[in-house]
Amino acid sequence: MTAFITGTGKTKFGVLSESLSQLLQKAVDECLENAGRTINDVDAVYLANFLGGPQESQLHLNALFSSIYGFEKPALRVEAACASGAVALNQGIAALQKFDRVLVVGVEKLSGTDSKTASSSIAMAGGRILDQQNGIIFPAAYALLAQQHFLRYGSSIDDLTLISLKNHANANLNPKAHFYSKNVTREMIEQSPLVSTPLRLFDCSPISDGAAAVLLEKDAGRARARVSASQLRTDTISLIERNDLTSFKAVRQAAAAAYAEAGITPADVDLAEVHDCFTIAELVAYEDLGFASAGEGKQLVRSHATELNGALPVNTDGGLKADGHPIGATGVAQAVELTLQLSREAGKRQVDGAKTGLCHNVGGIGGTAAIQVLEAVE
Amino acid sequence: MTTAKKTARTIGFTTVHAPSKEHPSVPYHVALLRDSDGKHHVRKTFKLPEIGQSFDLEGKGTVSHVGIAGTGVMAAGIALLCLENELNVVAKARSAAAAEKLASAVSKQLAKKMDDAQASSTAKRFSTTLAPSGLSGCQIVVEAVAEDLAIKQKLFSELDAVLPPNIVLASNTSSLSIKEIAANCRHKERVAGMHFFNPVSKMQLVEVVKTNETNDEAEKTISELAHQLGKTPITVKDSPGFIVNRLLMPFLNDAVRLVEEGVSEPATIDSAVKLGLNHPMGPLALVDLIGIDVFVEIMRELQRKTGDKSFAPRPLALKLLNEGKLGRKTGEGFYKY
Repeated sequence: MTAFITGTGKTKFGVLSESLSQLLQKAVDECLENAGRTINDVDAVYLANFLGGPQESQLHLNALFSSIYGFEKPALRVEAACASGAVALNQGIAALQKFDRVLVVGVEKLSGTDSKTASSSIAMAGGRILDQQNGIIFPAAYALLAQQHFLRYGSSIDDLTLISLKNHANANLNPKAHFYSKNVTREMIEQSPLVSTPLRLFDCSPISDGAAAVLLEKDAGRARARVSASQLRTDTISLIERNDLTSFKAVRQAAAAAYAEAGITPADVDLAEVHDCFTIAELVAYEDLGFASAGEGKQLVRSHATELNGALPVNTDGGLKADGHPIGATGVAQAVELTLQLSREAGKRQVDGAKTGLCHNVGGIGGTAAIQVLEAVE
Repeated sequence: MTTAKKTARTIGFTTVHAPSKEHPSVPYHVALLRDSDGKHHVRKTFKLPEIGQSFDLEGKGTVSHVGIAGTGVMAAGIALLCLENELNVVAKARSAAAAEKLASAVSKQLAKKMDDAQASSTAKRFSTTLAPSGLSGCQIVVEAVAEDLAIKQKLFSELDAVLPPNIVLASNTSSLSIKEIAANCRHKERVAGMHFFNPVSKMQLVEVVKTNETNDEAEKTISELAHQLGKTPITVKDSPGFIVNRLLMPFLNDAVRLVEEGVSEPATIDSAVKLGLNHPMGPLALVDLIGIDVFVEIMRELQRKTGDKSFAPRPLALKLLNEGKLGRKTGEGFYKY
């Protein structure tokens, strides 16, 4: 596979005044400028978005893109719940067999409605009958997973608190993060309101607006990072349709395929962006991605190995927890962060000598898993 | 042939504190279950689950059999809601004709809401009876007969005499005293209010009305039933008008007063309330919908119970009553229909 990332763009994540169109345009403009390209150089567009319909009454986003840019070439919207961004990336990478330059952009506008509506919209990532009608809003699904993990492996809420603390600390080095400059303490996390036991507010990613974009090119000339693997796997929409309630099979399969494609092992990964929609999701990701064996993810947390100065920094931008989770943009933003790190443009949060990065984006409660491996360009 | 009840073991649970559009009433619990075939299930419940406990997969909650006394609009609405939520319903009617009318109203509504097969299997959970003893298989009886104290007192004493004392007796009254309704009952501890709002299918609130004799079991059963029906129960002391009507009725009376004083036309007053207070319907249109006669009677009852003269029905309402202009049902009230 020959795919290179030549440009990146990202808006600030957070509760923003800009509209969906404005956010989209901001990220794309920045990305194209960053790559030294114009929209005329782009052969196709993959646009990731989850909830434009229920939240903004706006679908048909490929045509909306054309309204903004006068774009007439192939463009399409990709939706795979919270994994929309990385699935669009996966499809954009595959499309380089046909095109020279593909723009992948993810966008989400979530703050326009009240939180009850947003909660019901996000619950659409779960099964309508099996989950939604039984009261499984999104935090509840991960809360059940957390409890099973605690019972089976002896991990605890304290491990999750450490993950929240780490990601907030990283976000304080990222001016574009939702919670940049928010000083979060252990007491704040432990005393925050319960959302779905055992998860508290600070175990949950926020409702964010934002957009992120990358330009993919077949030619290495302007490369800032190389894509060495891109894998996508699917599983049942509901957790209860599966046997294993403490691990995501789709992630394990996508990870195995990605490591094989890149010709590496988990030990070769220098830093990772993992899908921490809830703190428990990051803990489970450590195990599913092979950074720790099943049930041992807690050791990485307790030994501080995944902090910025640790052996395997995870979520250097703050992750979904603290960088924010504008859903369609999230998977693309992970690739943006890895590109910044691998091309040594990550500023205060730069990981020294990072050569290999992995990004992991999950849809729903493990129904979709998309993993990309990126390498530094020498 | 008997089939074994399908049960599962509770292997986990979460208590949800964040309300969503579909599940506005919090906190609620979601139990994670594993059945004998190793399959997983989740079930929403308002009872705190316990890991290791067995869980009846077919039963939706603690209440399974509901009796309804009455055959009017509210009775039909409550019966339908119970049927849609998997409960068995027995309705007690005063006459065979009234029973027949209710049964046909219920089956007509079911046919509107579901396909034929589903409607006919749902209808099997509905039956009618003329004898109070026909309700003896129910866990709770919800009374929704005419808003007349003497009628309700008689009915409650009949039910109390023939039904085992563990069956909860609940009145859907909007303005009568629960204590007075229970006056002739031996087991006053099982009597409480369960006040639904019209239209039953749309309104989220249920007022659970406790007298100083109502026991916790009765209150719990009513709250549990309200939750099973997807409603939000709120407990309130037996008092004139409870919460909602105590606030609403004087407000409607004041709207009539504004018309008397010539402050504005009914339509303008209604517009102002809709746009400025975000009410779905204006107060004068609502008085017409309730019926001037019913409205006047509620105000008089509030006045009697509180001794507060400011609750006296306004002269303009009495004038319309005398002229037989009772609102929608007679074709004229504050508006012409």
